[in-house]
Amino acid sequence: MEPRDRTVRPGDRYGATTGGVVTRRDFLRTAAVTGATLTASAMVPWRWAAAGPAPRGVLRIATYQDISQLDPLRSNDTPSFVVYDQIFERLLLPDEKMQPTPWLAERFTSSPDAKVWTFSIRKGVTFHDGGALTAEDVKFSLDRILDPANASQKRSQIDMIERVEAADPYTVKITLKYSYSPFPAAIAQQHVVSKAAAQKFGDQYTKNPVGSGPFRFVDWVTNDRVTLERNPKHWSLKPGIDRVIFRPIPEASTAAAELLSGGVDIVQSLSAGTLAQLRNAPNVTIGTTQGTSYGFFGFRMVRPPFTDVRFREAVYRSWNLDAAVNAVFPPEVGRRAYAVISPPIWPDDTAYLKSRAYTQDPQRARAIFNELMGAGVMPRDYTIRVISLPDVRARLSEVLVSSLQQVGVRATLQITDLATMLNLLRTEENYIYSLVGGGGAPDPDQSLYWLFHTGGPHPTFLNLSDPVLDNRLLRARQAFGREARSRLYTDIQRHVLLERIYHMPAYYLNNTHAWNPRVKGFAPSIVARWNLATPWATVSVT
Amino acid sequence: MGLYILKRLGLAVPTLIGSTIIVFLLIHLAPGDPAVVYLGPDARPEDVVTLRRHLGLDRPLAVQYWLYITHAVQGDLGRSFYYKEEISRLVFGTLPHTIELTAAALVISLCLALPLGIAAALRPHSIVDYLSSALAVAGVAIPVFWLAIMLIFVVAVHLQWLPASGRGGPLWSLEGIRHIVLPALALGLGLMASTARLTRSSMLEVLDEEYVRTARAKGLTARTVTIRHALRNALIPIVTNVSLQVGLLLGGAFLTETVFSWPGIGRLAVDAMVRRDYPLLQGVLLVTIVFFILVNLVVDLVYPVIDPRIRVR
Amino acid sequence: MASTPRLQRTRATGGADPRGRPPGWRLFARNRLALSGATYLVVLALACALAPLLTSQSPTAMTLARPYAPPNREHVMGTDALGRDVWSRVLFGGRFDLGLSVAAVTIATSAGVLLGLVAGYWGGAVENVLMRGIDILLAIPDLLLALAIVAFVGPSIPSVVLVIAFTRMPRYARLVRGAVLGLKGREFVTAATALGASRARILLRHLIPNLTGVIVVYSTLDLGGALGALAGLSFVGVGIQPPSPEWGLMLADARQNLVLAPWSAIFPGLTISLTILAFNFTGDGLRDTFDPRLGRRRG
Repeated sequence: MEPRDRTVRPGDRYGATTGGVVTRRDFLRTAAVTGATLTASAMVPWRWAAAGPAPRGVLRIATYQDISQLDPLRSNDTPSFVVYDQIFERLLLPDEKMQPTPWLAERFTSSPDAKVWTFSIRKGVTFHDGGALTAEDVKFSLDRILDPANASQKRSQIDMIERVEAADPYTVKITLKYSYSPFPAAIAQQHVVSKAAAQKFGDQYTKNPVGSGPFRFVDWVTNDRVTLERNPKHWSLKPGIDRVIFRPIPEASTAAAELLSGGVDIVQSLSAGTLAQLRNAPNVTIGTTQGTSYGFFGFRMVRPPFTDVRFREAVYRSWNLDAAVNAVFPPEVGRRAYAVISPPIWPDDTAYLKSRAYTQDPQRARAIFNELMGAGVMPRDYTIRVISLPDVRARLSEVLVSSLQQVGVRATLQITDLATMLNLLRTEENYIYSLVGGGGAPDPDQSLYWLFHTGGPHPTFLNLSDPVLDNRLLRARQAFGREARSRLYTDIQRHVLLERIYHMPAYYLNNTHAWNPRVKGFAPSIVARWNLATPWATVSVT
Repeated sequence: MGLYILKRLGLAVPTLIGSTIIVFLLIHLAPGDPAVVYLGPDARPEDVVTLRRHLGLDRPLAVQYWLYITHAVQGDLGRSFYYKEEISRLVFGTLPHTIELTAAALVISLCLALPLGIAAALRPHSIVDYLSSALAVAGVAIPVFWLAIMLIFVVAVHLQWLPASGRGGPLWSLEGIRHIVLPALALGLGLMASTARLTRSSMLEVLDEEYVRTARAKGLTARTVTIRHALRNALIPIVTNVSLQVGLLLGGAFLTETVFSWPGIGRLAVDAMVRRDYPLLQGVLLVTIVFFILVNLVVDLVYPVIDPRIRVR
Repeated sequence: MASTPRLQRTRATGGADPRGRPPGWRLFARNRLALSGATYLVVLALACALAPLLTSQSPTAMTLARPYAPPNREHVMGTDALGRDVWSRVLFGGRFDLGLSVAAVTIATSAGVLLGLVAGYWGGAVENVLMRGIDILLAIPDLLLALAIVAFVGPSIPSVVLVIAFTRMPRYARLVRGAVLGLKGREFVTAATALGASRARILLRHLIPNLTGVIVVYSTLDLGGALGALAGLSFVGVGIQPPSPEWGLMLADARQNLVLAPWSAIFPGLTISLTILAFNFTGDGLRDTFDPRLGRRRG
């Protein structure tokens, strides 16, 4: 017999084919039926129909992306740390004003030169598997981040540490390479893991995270949900929730629809369109805090024309960054940044930086580009390459590319994932790239040193080599007294943003969440992370 | 019959080998050293060396393929560099959700399309016939991603009838069913359209055949004639069409799952693609294609049961 | 089976009257649906070609201060999230969508016809190897294959076009091989062979002209599929890259703001649907033109 014909017919598309043929009558009928259906559906009144009853004691949170890793060593992306912040605890916990306060460490002291720091660990803290939390666990947790073999993204946050010692079971002594007065801010970002569990599970620890936090891990179904449950044996906190479910819903509009229909309780990230919809919806609370996460466009300066500051000025002058940020970000989501550091973190130099910021001036930009082309710094057919992640940043980057094209230079946009982008930023190519970095820490050093001091990942992306800057950053780091350090950081910001234009400062991300009336006691913090149970706020559901 | 089965199996084997070769070769299309491509940007040099040996990258392509396929058969598809987990676990953890969605799309489209097609054939130029024509036009013209967006906008956001995304739970729970309706509809529209059209036309044709007219002349009731005689014979081209469409459903599932945040293999693949998680993407493809070929084989083997003429030949 | 795949019908067309000429445009013109489809396509193609004359702003010109303007006098299709004119983007986007679909189908057709001719005419081992390969390619869902290859090669306009062409090519090869097999046994070919005509001559003079109808019909119908594939690839982010206007990309862009600006999704979506439909109507009409008997049977 003939093998059956596996050929698919033309006109077939994914999941659809033409069954037989379409005639004119068919077409007219469709028009009529479609019209009738649309009219009918428009007549149905808007309904805020509820889903089935929400499960008691269960909080469901829509995140914008699946988590990557639950081992704090291995990930530093927002969806992941929002989850593991509930599972793991830190020696110091940032309070509502971002000031590190004692937590797993009952108290801490430093030597007068701020080089040796001693932390007294709270007694009676146990991990979810029953093991006691001791100084050994703290030492283990910090050492594994510092071990270059683990290539932890968090290493640069604490690489001023020379050694960590467990002086006795409840005392940790940390010696630094140099005086570093903001060390508490750095240590307040590191989680304590269970040494026994981490060694037992090895690289599977990320699937079996054992911490000491108010919630413990239940399971993680890829792209579907992460489930945590209350830790009834927590040494201090009494969470108001039995279970937490984190559901990755990348489409903002879909997440909003889920909130409205009662499918989730909190939506973590919102777009312009969904905000417009949610603002008018009954029973939805939208909470916003002015965030400090700093988004910027960086220049990867490998060779001319990128290495020429005139070129960078011309790019900056090509577009209207104010208008772009206002068009792309609703006020709840983001606002224009003129500095790296934003209040409430000091120093506040916004007024000066704003008055001197480069504003759109296409004639000037064109003139500079022409001058550079004439001088041979920039080839006439030079293409400026912009790379961006696929989110709102892509929109901003689109504005930049279109504006450059309108000024008369060639520009292309490549939208990639983070891994590819970081790979490209290690190649010998010039790029303009858009990232969010810094801003989230309570001390300016945490942002500025990380972004600009040679040796860290960010300066490598910029291909930065600026000894003057390195020197100032190191001095600011070791200086004592807020006033002296403020002066240094003010100089540093003016240097990188106005004089050298390494970054075009673009926006601060605000922290906006939307939630339904089931949720009590929830409020976004000024950083993108929050704890569902702290001494000063306990989130609960009805 | 035995010969038929042997022949089918004989055809499936080279297809399996050929398509796995294509999937295997994909990794060589990506720029750079395959070991680095596999391990991702953060790979340690010693891991690259180990993996090179494991995959036999310094040996001829044929040997590499052999190693790749023997590892795959043993369930070793490598590790995803985004999730840092065994790919086989990720793939087999999500594949059931895709099968669930595809099956739901199949069931919904057949349940709606068959009665519609039959009714349209029994009463040409009636409202029902118009509906089936309308469906045919929609099936041709609306790409699945466009339909998915519109369904979310109208049914979930505007009317608030059904949830907009995600998997609500197992199919036997109310939430499970509420969640699967929209993605299954989006995915199934094409199949529904073609099935309705095909049912109508083959019913019309069969109703005109000698034996149906004979049956009518014998005085059998309309229902008996329709079901016992006409439908059974009209079913053959419909089954053929459905089996042809399984591949399209799988392809469509990639886009549907992305728009509806359905935790299936298609979303896993699209995410892997966006993140350049090449080993994961390769693993997903391998499993999907093998799965697809096996489904087709099963359909081929079931075919003679429906169409006795094949058994005879 | 009048109800089964078109392919079989068109294959039958291939075996139709060996000296058959298209019976002229009159027949095509009588099919009103086909005519309106073709007219739509011509108008759309012209509009896209003359886009600069028909639009008042560039497809990438932004009005950042006033995004999401609803359709009005100035912007007949409204503006999108960056205040860009949707009308202008639809027209300029059509240059990509129509141009690249046509390019992909042309490449697919040329390659497929060549392979099909070789397989069908030479037969033997060549045919076996070629057709086995084609079967294997057909065994992989084509969107899957396209996505996979683009993901590994990296998105760029040439790679997207080539990949779409590659995934559609096997069907042409199979179609043409079938038609050639049908023609090979016909008297006029046998006669030519007996008269000592060379293979190349037989292919060029006798086979190809007889296949033209089938190929034209099939390619026209396939354009809709290629357009869907292109828009689909761009939709998931591995096709055309922004800020270039492309319909699938516009749709992907607009879906985040459906509530604020439904028009920025509806117009590109509608254009995709209408264009796919027009390709289908035109293809159907062409088939009727090349083989009127089939058209009548369908009623």
